[in-house]
Amino acid sequence: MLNKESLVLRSRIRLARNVKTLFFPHRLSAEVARKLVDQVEDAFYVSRAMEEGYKTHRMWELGRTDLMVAFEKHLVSAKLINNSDIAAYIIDEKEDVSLMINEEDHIRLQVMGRDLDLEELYKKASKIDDLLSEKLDFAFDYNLGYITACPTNLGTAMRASVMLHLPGFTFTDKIGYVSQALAQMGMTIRGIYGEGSQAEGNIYQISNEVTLGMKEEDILYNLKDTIVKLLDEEQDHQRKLLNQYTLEMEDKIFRSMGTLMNARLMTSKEALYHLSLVRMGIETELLKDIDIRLIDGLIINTQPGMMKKAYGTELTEKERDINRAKIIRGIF
Amino acid sequence: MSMDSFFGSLFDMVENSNKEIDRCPKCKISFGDFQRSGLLGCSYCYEHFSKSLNPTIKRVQGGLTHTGKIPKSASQEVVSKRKIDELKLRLKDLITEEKFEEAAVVRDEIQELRKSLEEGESDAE
Repeated sequence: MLNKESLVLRSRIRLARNVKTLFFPHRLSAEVARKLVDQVEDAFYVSRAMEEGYKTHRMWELGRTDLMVAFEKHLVSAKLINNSDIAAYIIDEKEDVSLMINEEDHIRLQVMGRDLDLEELYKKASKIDDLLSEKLDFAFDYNLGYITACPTNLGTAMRASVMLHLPGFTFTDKIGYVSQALAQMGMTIRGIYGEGSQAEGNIYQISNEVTLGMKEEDILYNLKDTIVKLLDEEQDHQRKLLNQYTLEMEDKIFRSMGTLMNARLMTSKEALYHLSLVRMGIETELLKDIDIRLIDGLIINTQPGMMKKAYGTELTEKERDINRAKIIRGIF
Repeated sequence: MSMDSFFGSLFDMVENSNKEIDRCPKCKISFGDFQRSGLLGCSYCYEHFSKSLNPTIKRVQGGLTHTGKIPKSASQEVVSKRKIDELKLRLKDLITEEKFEEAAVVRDEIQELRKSLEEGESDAE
C-alpha cells in the first residue's frame, strides 16, 4: 500500500478580507465594485516580480468557457462566476495562488498545495494578506476578528480544505458516519466541487467549519490531525475490502483499467468513476508503473469545461465524449 | 440544510417584530434581509444588529472572541489589548502552578500595559 498522503489530491487555505469603508459586494454598485478591483491591484502589484508572476482576469471580459475552466481547476468559485459583472481574479503562473475579488467578500485569497503541509500554505497566504493590508484597511473587530459578509466566516476568516480520495469509506457505506463525527469536531465534508456538489469519483473535501475563537495554527493542527487519522482508517477499509473481496475488487479495478484503455465514448461521470477505481488500484499497489499524478490530471482535464477549452465550444456532447475517451487512451 | 433555512429557523426564535423596519443606518439592510440571504450589508451591521446577531454567532461558531491573527495595520490599542489578554491567561497558569514570583512579573507587565492604554485613550480625547 502506498503512503497515506497519496490519498490527498490537493489542499487549500482561503482567507476572506473586506475593506472597512465599503459595503459588502452584494450591496455595491457595479462602478464602485469594479473600482475596488483596481484598488486591490494597486495594493498587490508592488514589485516587478509580482507584475511578472501574476495576471488579473476581469471576469466581465471573459467568455463562458474560460470561466468554466477556471472553476473546474478550482481557481475560482461558483459564486465568483455568478458575480461575473463585477468580479475579477488574480492568479500566478503555476496556479497556486488566486485572489478572488468581489465574491461574497471583497477579497478571497486562496493558496493551493498538493499535500498536507497546511502550515506552509497558511504562511504563504498570511504573507500576501500582510502585503495587501499595507494599502487596504481591512474591517476588523477586536472581539469578532476579521469581519465577513456571512457570520459563519468571522474571526480568522480562514477556511482550510483538503481534497481526499476515499473509496474505502464510500464502498463500505461509512461516509455518513465520517460526516457526523466531523461535524462534532467543527469540521465538514463535501463533494468535489464544494457546497452542494456530489461526491463523484469518491472525492471529497474536508474543511474547518468553525472560524471564530481558535487561532489559525490550532485550526490547522486539528484539521490535519483528524485527516491523518481518517486516512489511516481509509487505508484499513481498502485493505479489508481487498482481503475480503479480493477477486471482486481486482475485477472492478482491472475492468476500469480496461475501459479507460479501450473505450471510444466516455462521459465525464463515467470517466470519474473509472479513474477513481484505477486510483484505488494504484494506492493499493495492485496496479504498478502508473503515476498517480497522471490520474489526478485526467480527473481535472476530462471535465466538461476543460474539454470545451481544448476542443472548442462547437463540439456536440457525443463529439466531446469521443475526444474524452481519446485523451484517456492516450495516457494509458 | 441550506444556509437560508438554517439562519431562518435560528432566527425564528429571535423576538424581533421590527425586523423589517429597523435598518442599518449605513447600508440600509434590515435584519429580515439578513435572515433571507444569510449576508450582512456592511461591517457596521455587526454593531447595529449586535443584540440579535451575537447569540446566533455564538451558536454557529461556539464562541465570540477572536484569538487569531490581527491585521498588520492594527492600532497600538488592539495590539496592547491582545497582549494583555494573552498575559492574563499566562498569569492564571502561573498561579495554578504556584510560580508566584514569575506571576508577579507578569502582573506588573499587565499593569504597565493597561496604564499605557489608558494614557493613549486620554491623549485621543
